[in-house]
Amino acid sequence: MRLTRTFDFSSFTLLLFVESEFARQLLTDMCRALHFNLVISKRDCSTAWDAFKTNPVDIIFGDITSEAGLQFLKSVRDIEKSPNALVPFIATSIKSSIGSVASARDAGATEFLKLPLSGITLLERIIYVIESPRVFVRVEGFLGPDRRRKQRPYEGPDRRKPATTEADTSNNGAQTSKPERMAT
Amino acid sequence: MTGQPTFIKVANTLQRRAARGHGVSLEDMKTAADQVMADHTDMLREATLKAIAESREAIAAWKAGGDNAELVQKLASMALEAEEQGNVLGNPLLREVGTRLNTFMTLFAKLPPASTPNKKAIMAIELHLDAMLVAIEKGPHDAIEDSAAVLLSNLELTQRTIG
Repeated sequence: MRLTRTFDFSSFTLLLFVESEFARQLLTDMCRALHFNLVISKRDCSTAWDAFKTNPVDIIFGDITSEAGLQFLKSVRDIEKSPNALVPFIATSIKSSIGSVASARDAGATEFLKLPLSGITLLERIIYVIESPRVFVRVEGFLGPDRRRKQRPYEGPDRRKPATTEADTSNNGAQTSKPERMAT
Repeated sequence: MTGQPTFIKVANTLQRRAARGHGVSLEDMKTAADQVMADHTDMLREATLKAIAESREAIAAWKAGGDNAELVQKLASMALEAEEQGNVLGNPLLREVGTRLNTFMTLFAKLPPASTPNKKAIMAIELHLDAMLVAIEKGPHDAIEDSAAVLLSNLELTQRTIG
């Protein structure tokens, strides 16, 4: 990341949902130091949801250490009731186990940020969601960012065809509309 | 909705908005955010030192015949805060000492109210408070070093001996 680049966050609204008072205050102060226009910080799911419904939120930071955070993320991605189901959601947690990351991914998080954080890790995540918005995938029971960082054609044999049919090697890329296995 | 995935391309309005206006360099933003982190670390140091001093006063009150329920509540709450602050500010030693003190206080909670102070138990609590001071002096760090691991092992040994 080139640190000489400039960004103007003065028109952005952030919503922070962090249960821990100490972590919430730290994250709020750090985001204010980045000159965001409005930083709304909430400690419980219902007030965070109310704030999300009544403000034009651009980016959400949500603590998914507890089940409440994951529920909030799932509500945000619920296209039937969410005011903006495609909003970037940066999941924060004090845990970085595979299970925690997988839970955030499966609930539709855009990025994952482990606490403790530094100025540079916070900025990296924010710049990434701003500059590289992901295509969203919607399938039954899931709405969230497509985890694939690169679009590559499938190069192996097409195993979906009956064994008696000859493999057509000329259609590389024909299956790219199917999602590949999700990466963590 | 069938089993077939639908792909939704998201309009990149955030990038356009972030490019408007005067802007602030990432270097300046990073410096400002790191300063906030440093300020919170200093505040944590002061708050934890105060909490340790108050805990010692609570121990003295208990020795003088106070209710041990009050002591348990105060120390368990302080231990939880230390654990949380250790997690958030990157002080794994403080986190681990907080976890161990909290575990120890759950044992204490089982004692009858206004029970006679036990010298060994008081010594164990004070050892945890001393270990917190070590963690605070150490400041933020990535991993628990060998010397800190020995300290944690000793705390566990003390707990087992008393338990």
